[in-house]
Amino acid sequence: MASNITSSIASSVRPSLRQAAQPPSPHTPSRFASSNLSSPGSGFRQEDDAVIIELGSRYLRAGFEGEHSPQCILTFGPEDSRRAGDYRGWAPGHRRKHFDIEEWGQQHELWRMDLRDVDLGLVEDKIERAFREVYNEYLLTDAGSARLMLVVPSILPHPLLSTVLTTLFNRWKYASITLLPSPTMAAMGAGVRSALGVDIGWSETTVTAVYEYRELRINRSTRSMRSLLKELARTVIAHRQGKGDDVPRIEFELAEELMARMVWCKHSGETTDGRANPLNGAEAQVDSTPSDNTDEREIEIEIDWPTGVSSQVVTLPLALFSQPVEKVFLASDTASNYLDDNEHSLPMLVYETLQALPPDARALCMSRITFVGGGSKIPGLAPRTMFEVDLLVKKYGWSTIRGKRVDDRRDKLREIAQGRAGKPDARFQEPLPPGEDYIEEKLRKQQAKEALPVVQGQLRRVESLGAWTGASLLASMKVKGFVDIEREKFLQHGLAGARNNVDISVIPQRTSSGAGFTKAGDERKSWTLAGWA
Amino acid sequence: MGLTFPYTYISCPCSDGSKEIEESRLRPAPLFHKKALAEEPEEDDEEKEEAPFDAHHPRASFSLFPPEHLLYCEECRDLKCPRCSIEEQVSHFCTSCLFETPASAVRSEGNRCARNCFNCPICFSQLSVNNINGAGKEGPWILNCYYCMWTSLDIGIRFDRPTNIRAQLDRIANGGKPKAPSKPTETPDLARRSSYLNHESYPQLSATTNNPPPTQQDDSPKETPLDPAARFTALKAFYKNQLTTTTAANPTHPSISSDFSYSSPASLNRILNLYSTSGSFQPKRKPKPQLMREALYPSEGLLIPSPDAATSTQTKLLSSPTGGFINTTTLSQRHFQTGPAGGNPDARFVDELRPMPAPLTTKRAKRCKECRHILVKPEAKPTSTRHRIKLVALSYIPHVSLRPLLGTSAAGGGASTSSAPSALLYGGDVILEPARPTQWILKLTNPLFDAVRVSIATPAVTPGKYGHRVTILCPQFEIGANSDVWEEALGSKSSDAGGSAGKISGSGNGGVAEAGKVYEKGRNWTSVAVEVVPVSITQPIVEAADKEEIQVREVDEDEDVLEIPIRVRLDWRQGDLDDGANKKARLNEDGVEDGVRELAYWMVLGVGRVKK
Ligand SMILES: [Zn+2]
Ligand SMILES: [Zn+2]
Ligand SMILES: [Zn+2]
Ligand SMILES: [Zn+2]
Repeated sequence: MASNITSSIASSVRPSLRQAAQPPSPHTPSRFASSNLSSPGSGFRQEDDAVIIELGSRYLRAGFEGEHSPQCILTFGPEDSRRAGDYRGWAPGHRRKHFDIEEWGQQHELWRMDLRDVDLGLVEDKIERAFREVYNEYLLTDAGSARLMLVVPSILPHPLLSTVLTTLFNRWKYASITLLPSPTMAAMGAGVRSALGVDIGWSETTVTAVYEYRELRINRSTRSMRSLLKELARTVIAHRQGKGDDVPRIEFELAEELMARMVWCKHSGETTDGRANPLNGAEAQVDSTPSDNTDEREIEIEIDWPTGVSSQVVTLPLALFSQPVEKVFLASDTASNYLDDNEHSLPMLVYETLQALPPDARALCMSRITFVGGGSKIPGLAPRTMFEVDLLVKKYGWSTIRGKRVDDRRDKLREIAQGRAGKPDARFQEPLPPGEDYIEEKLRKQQAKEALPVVQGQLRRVESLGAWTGASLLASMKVKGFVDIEREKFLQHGLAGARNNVDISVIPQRTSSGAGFTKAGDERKSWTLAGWA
Repeated sequence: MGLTFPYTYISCPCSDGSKEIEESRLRPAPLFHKKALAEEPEEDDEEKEEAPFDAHHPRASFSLFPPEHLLYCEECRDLKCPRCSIEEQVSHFCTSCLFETPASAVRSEGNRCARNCFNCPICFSQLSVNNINGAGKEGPWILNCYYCMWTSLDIGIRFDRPTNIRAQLDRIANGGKPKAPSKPTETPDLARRSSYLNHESYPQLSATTNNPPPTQQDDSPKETPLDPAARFTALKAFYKNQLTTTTAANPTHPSISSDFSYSSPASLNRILNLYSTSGSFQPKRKPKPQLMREALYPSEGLLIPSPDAATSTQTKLLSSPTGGFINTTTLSQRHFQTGPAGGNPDARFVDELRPMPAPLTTKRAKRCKECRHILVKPEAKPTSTRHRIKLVALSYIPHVSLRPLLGTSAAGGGASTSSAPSALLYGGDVILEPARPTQWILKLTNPLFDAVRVSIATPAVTPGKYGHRVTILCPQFEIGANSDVWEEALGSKSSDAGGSAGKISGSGNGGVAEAGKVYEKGRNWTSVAVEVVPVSITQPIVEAADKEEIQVREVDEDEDVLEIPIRVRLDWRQGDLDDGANKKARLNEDGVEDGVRELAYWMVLGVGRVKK
């Protein structure tokens, strides 16, 4: 390889190349020519506004603080993993390799929580490429110049977190990177301080109890948009086969369109005001038992089903599109006794998370339930979940007798967050440490003297603008972030450095404030991983 | 559709044995296989250890670039790819109207064109502003798409003037009604607030509250819920308001100072622990610190979803018997609506979409990531395509081409009969017969003014799933300097390979494919023969599906593509070294400037597809 001494020698390249170094021709300079000359791009833009990027297994949202919406949402897909200059995937008529439904997903994801399936080098490559695209095509600002705030799931395996940070610090000159946990940010984006955040995501569904901006508890389920997508594909194929259609195959992209556009969730029997739900008539038609209800309610939709080079119009009953939701999220076909803890239906997951909370936290959280993530967009799913949770509460109350295997779940969480040192579930210890917590005292005092009504104890849904927007709100207030990771320290010590700091100096915040905010005094000396430790 | 054979990709040296991420052990397969190269130049030992490049590894897609995408840093004397160069925005402009937006205005305009450039929400092509009557100076005006025939009338929007469309659009909601103000009052007034108290979902007087706020039994009309943008503004105002009341009222509280800066240690406590005195809600201000409260009213950004909202979406979904699918928005249409500039990413139905102001694009300069040397510097003017600096790699590294050796040739070290793939002649895909040796002519053309010594090495068997056998008959040779044509004429060297111009596109029947010998040679180019024996691509796993039909698993998209990884090493001595003042700067580690330049990289040659 070339030696690394510096040299300004002229090489023997074509003379035309060297013209470049000559002063520019006397064109009328554009408005910003003078600053361009000295150093292109630097210094003439307001770089104060932080860039906020939310990373999930399937999506990336990027934008600026103080704005209500990200500038872009990118999805990870096979076309993003092609070589530079290879645009075949976008060419009309291009057909990609067909994947069996059961193989779906991996190609469309940035990472998986189960690291056995993850090539971290590939994660690095994908992040680098995605960030470059985001800055160059959407943010239109120089990467590394403005502060970066990353919104990430509150449980992220260390190797993944480390890969993300290493990639970003090595690639660009970020002075520091702030980590923000998505459930707390979703609460921020709803205007509340305590919430039960239901995040129906691509690879998993999480329910997180946030109490005064601290994560008290998190439950997870494998029931997710990915499982919904697969179930939808199977359902549609089975239906077409049942009709005697010659169904060659369904591709991921078609299934995803169908999921985003047509999937809906039926109400349970009646609407809340007691009227019979008009929507359930459609459902009756596709029940597996042949119905003698000859109501004209069967609504069909027409879609263009791609077949090789062209497409074919296919008619499907709309009611078909509510079945996968029932099966995947509401587990209507399985008795809950037979389910693993991480396979609980959505209402059960919500119920169990609430049940495990201390009563005062539960009272606040149950009146602030937020739904975010892809599944929150399914029409009817959130109201239906609330309805079912209400039934569970009426049936079981908050008796803890049902909570049979709480400890098992802790162990599972520990497994998932593999690679974590120390006590990974420290923040799930339910009772907050007594005494010496000024906030707690204040809170209690406030509750006693609160003049304003506090809604609690009733099941209530609150709409969140989402984790990205919550982070944008937080950042626009120019406060110090949750977990600031400084460049030099990270590059020297990696995450290990952070972990040590947690153990040495900031135990109080780890126990009393899961979200990782610091107490005045010790914040500049060390950064910590807070919930990610 | 498909790849056009033959092609060349280069793996940027920055990913050679790339800086390993600490948990590298978790990687299932390394990009570089630990296999020795078959024909390694005799020189240094460490290079011999280098494992061949696997072009089919998933990571390879990220390190391979077409040669024209690569740059060259004269300081580092190395290739530079988009991953090891740093980009700096030079100017921002709109690709539709080519007007430049001053950098200071880019953000406030949402990174989009503030003029009259819009994209169709359905098909994303450019919209034009047209008079609704077809002609004339009187309005109204509409936006329409000549491609898919969408017009803004489809969403009930028309404009009074043909100018400043963006500002007009921001004030009109779909359907034509004026858009609800996105900036609600910052402090909610009591009367307005109380109207929500009757709604069961908003705060009620709980039994534990001794100090109820006044409840008014008025029937003020229900407000329409704020859209996300307006809610955001309301929430932001709410948080800010809570913070400022805190600061103003508690100058003495230990955790509160008037310093609002980002770096202030107390700030975080303030926002998250949120102390405040009683805000604007209690008539008498108590000096006691109090926790900052949550948003309680819609005017503060709180939104309790109404039970009807979901039902109405569903009803709409069901309403039109045949229209259910075509009236809903596609995923790409929703993504296209993203951004703070007035789109509606939540649009589920096409009549909820908004025309989108055209996104701005940038001109960018590039610097070397290692030494910050500038590599590309475009002229800032949007209409100019010129660069003040552009150090493209193709000015330094040889241009590579590959063509089949026509006819059969039994000459050469044990080479059996070879045949050219016939498909190539028709310009289609190149199809290679498995197990049948073919010979190819690899030609390297030198852009430099100095002669370059070249050594190319390839693994005898390509790494990865399919081991195709590859032999380069002459791995080391020289390519002549790219002296100007007239210079060559003056030098009157007897051209040993005939006129170079003719040879470049010639059919190449002048050479002999013989081991150790150059096939042909011209002024600044040399070609060598390569022999390739493809192995057959096995149709993997024949599985019986649940039906009785036998299904054959499809081969991965490019699994059948035969690509040859080639390790290229170049060295040359830089000519015309003058004794200028900066001679000192040119010295190498040993204090001697010998003008020697070296460059090494992996190149991938795409030959064709193996017949299945
Ligand atoms: Zn350099
Ligand atoms: Zn590179
Ligand atoms: Zn424009
Ligand atoms: Zn259009």
